Amino acid sequence: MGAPLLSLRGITHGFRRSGGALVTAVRDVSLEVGEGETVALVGESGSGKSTLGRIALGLIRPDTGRVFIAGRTLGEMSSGELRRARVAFQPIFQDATASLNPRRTVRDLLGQALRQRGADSIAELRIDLLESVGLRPGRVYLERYPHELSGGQRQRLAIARALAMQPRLIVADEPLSGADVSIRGQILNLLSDLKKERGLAYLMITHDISIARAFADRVAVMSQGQVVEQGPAAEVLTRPAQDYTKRLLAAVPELR
Amino acid sequence: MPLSIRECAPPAFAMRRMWRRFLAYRAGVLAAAYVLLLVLVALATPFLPGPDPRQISDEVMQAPSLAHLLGTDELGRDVLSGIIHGIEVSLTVGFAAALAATIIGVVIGAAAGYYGGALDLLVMRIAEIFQVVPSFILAAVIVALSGPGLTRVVTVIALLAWPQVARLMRGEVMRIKGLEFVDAVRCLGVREPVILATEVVPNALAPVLAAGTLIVAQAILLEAALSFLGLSSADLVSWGRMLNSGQRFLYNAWWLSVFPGSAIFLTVLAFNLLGDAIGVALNPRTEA
Repeated sequence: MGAPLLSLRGITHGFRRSGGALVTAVRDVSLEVGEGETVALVGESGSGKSTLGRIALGLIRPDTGRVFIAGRTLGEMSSGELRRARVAFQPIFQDATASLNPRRTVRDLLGQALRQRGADSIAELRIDLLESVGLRPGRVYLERYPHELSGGQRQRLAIARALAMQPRLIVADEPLSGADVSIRGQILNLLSDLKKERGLAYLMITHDISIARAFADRVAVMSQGQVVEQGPAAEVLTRPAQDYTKRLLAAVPELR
Repeated sequence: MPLSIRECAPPAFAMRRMWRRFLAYRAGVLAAAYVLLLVLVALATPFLPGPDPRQISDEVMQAPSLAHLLGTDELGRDVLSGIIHGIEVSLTVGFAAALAATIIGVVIGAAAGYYGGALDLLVMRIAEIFQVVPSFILAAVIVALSGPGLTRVVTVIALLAWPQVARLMRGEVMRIKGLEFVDAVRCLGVREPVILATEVVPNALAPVLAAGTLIVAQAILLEAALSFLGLSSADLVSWGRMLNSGQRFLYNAWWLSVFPGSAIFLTVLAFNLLGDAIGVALNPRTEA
């Protein structure tokens, strides 16, 4: 066991509202994600989950606290090193439509990622990637623009692009909320297959307890910018220690 | 946080809708036809029959007739021929100035909007200075001091017009840089200047097109006004120049003022309407 893949220590980050008031989105949060581990970050909207996800991806530099990637802090890295290091963490966003440049074709979108990684034989890899996310046969999708794909296909494409970078951690911010109910299951299965095949780690940001239950090894519960409880999924979701977690669980409709 | 992607609509199918909105704006279609006609006539000018606009003759101050459809001036020059040859100057100045202003505005606005901070503050204050200065007076002073010449006129107009484009570009870039697809590309490890040039700017250009068309109209008007004041080269055939020599004879030879004046009026109006039409076409909220 080396250093965890991602380690957030004492992260605090605020935003300035247009009025000038400072709003603290994340308050003194510490969180770790190990190699191949799936951590679900649950909490209601506005609890700071997404901000924490963006900090993990290096898209936001936190006001205070340290982000370690495989044991090294972002602070010690030059911007070039940071750029290379954070490639190991890839995002999947809620709205696949918004996460794909509307002016690029599938060929272009995947080619951009593969070239960025410095891959050889891009043409073959492109097809492999498309087929590995269930877009078969890959070549029929190459010349399409994102708007010519269905919602589920777009999310698969976004996943394929993330995989093109051979990431070790995927930060998935509500990856199923933008999808129809009918394709949620498919996407969830795909993510779960990829985890087994490639040993991917996930930081799964969700407000949906059932996803956390189905998918996560560990769960961290966020409320008002703080992690109020974290631990093994089975434990937190069956024997919650905190009132907030209990209320969150009580709010989930159950099938009997 | 779901982000809207308005105006970032996918190209192919957005194009069809844009075209529909454009066609629904009748005045714009008419203006486009007129502009197209102007361009064709300007290109065909060397091959058109009819007298040279500089050709002096004995038939001075003739009212419009079959021989001279729009009459002749005090030196016997044909007014119609002058108007046709004048298209070239107006369009050249209009397009060149608009193109220059657009390029300057896009580069400066994109940098200011993307990098923000001190650069943004500095650049936008400079833009404001250019915008509060009365542009016609500044243009007249610069041309009067440095002498006439089309290149100079184009330069002056471009220098005065770029802030309009820069402001627009800045706003668009600020909006688009926050969209998720830009963050996704950032996570691929692409450098910031490359992201700006290949992801953000292409998606921000559409509204700039409308502003650029409006600048063509402003430039044509400004060139005509400078020529009217005699601040253009005397051997250039331009509408403003014709007005300048014609206004002395307004009471006995109305055609010397009315026809070039109408040409300027119609052309400026057409480019304004065309700019509006493009703006409407590019705005998805005006549904046809």
